Amino acid sequence: MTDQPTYELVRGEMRPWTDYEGENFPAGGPVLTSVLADLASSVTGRVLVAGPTSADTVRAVAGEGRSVDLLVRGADDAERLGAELTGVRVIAGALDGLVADNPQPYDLVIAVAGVDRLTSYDAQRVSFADQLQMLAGLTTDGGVLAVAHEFDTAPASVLDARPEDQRHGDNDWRPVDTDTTRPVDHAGFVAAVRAVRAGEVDDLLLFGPPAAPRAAVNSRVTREAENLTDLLVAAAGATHRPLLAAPDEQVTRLVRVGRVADAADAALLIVGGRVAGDVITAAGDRALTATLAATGEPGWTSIRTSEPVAWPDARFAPGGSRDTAQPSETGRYVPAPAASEPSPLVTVEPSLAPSRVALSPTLHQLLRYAAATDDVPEFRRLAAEFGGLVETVPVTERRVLTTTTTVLDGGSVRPGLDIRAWTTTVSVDEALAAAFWLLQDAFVRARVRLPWPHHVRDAALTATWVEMAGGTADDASLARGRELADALSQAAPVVTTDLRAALADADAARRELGEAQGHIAGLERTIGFRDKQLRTREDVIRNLRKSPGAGLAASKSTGTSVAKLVKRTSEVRSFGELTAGVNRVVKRRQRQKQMRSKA
Amino acid sequence: MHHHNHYYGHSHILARYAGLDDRHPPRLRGYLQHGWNVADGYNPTHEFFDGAVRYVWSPRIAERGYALGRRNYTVVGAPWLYLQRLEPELGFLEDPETNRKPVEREGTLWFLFHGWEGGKIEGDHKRLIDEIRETEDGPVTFSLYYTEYDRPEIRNAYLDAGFEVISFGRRGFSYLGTDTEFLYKQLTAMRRHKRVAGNRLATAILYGAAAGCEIAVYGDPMMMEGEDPRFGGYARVQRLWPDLIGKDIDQRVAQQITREELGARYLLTPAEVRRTMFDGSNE
Repeated sequence: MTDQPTYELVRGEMRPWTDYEGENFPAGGPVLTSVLADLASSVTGRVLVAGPTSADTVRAVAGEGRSVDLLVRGADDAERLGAELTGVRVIAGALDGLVADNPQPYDLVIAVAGVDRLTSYDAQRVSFADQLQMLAGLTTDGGVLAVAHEFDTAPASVLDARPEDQRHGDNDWRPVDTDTTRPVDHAGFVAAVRAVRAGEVDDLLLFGPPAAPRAAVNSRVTREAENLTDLLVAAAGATHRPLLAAPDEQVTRLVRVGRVADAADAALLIVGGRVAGDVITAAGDRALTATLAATGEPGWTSIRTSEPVAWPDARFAPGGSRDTAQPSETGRYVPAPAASEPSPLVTVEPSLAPSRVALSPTLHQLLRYAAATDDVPEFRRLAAEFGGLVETVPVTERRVLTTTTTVLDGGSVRPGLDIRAWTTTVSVDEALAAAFWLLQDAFVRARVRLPWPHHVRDAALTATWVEMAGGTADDASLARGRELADALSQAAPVVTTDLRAALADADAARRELGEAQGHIAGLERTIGFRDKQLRTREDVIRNLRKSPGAGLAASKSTGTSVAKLVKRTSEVRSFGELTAGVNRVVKRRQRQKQMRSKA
Repeated sequence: MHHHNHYYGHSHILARYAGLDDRHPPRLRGYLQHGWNVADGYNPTHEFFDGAVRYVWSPRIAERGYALGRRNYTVVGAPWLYLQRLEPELGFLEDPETNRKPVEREGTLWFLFHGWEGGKIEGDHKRLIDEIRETEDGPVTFSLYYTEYDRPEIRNAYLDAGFEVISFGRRGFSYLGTDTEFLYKQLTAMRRHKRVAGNRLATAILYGAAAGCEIAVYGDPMMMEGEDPRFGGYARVQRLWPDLIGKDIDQRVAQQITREELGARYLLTPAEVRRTMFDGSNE
């Protein structure tokens, strides 16, 4: 074993520090890796990967005669990556430190982790614009620059539950918002890149955690992106930010009006190069790349699947409390949320990639509209169409079918951009139950107005829909469907309990409390009546006991009168009524007595 | 108050500056940086308590600490600069009472990188002496911290070389043994020398530059047993401040860097020190 250093040092390295663990994770994942591998394949010569980037992504960029330099700021990260990435020159330090070393220009410069992560506390204090200038200055004249940046105006950023001084964690040693040259939105970022580098720009809008996006859409297909709304919403929901509310609504509205760039969490701008495909989405640990059909029937075509790539944020752990001198004592006893492992029930199968996906809304969107507008017949029709699809898919194919990944194509439902498969055989009823459990969860979470009464939820609602789809909703298939739905949710973004949901829950709790109080008042009133009734009867019985013969002496038939009196007494509804009755009887008797005495 | 705040009489100086009792200085509301380093101003294993403020010398120090996940930094500048404000004449005059003639600075005050109570330095003192002789023109006064001063084999090596050997005292530990005149003596000595040099870029070199001396850093930086490498060690210091290392360096650049590192622009007024640093619990 030798102690040879595995990396080189330039000014500004950080230690102790890591961009690869806990709160910080490197740029990478299937979507970015697929894009960069395509991009690099068109480049020969020298490549600089600047900023924390996952080892898988660096490997995908390297090869085919390209010489790759990787710049990271954490010295410990550099040491580990140097040992892991053979053939890659790993450098620890800040961008200005590398520039000061005056390296030979690069044919491709990649900074997908963003410009913010190229600096350090020991770097020169230069603005974002100057950093970008430095980065662009490292490319050859005809070289390609690929740089990403996250937007503070993105829905997930605007809805971030943390105050501004806590949003960037330990990266905020110099508050990033104090740099006025740092763009906060897409337009500003494009302008900043154009200011340092002329040439054609390919513009990929990224959804999800900026360093590990779940979906990318080329800005040239923003008009068609409305049909990808469910996909983009799911990607945006994969954020690791604690949110005041889910970004779904904002993303949906912005995409609907064509403001896809405003809905995006980040963008990857490529100057001097072009990426393959218009839509790149993640399916498990792979990326699906699709292109908008140039001719013929409109739709996403040329759908291909990438090689598997690990997610760099799979072990993301949120930072603890930083307000105190030491991490919170409570934190020692409250375990950090464990990273969810992909469910063994779900896998990806590249052969399931469809050859074409229509430019039409997903079944989920259509079912939602039908439900929200009380159009149960339409809902029933769509559910039946979905049932038809599930029925026709061979059980041995094990294709996962959900309402968000199926589209309506020419009146019938077809699979969309998805290649997920079950690892076990799933019956039609179970598959329907899984899909409708997910739909039920999504509708309840989004508080969609539903035409079914509020007590018809969970299994009852899922069973209703399964039956609408032509399936049988017995307890066993519903339970199995729940299990399968959970397996799919596990692979999907974690849902945060947000402030909006909390406020709505509090409102519902207040309403229920008011209703319960009303119910109690009603019961009390009823009990009061009953109480009065009982007291009245008791008084009557007491009076009867005091003078058992008095009331009955004049009676023709004692037995009949007593029976009549008891019957009448039991019908008495109040004390006043009884008094009036008694008075009437007494007066009648008096009148009869007077008449007899006159006679 | 953490006992580190007493080191070198720092809290005494700040109390005096703030117009408080400097013999029994009141409690500081947190941790005062007591030496310059390449990290966040504290040693890697320093203990901190919740709610305490970290009083550091410069923003760069606070930024490094922030990146370590630590918060509650307040930049106040180095106590050394407060002492210089308090003692504008100390050491400059032959005798402030009887002879106010300015002292003519001469010679070099040479600082051997010092160990501490938990670690001793190891290195080739003979070779260092030879290099100092080759480099320095005038008389050399050798400053040893008591950890080396009390080791006869080290002290005698420099005495035998013909250098004057001095020690400014002890910084103290756990509130005991602090020489509260430590920095006063050091300031006096520096103001009487033309040049301050050492074998490592360390606090004393920056103090020398702040006291108006030329500075130089050369010779075997020596090793200290138990030196914690997690902040990058002296190699990182050399990479970050190459302008301050050498026998003949640009003194104007050295002055600029020193002002930054000691936080000259961040010094507080006496009232601010009282309000910001002392909580008045035992005034």
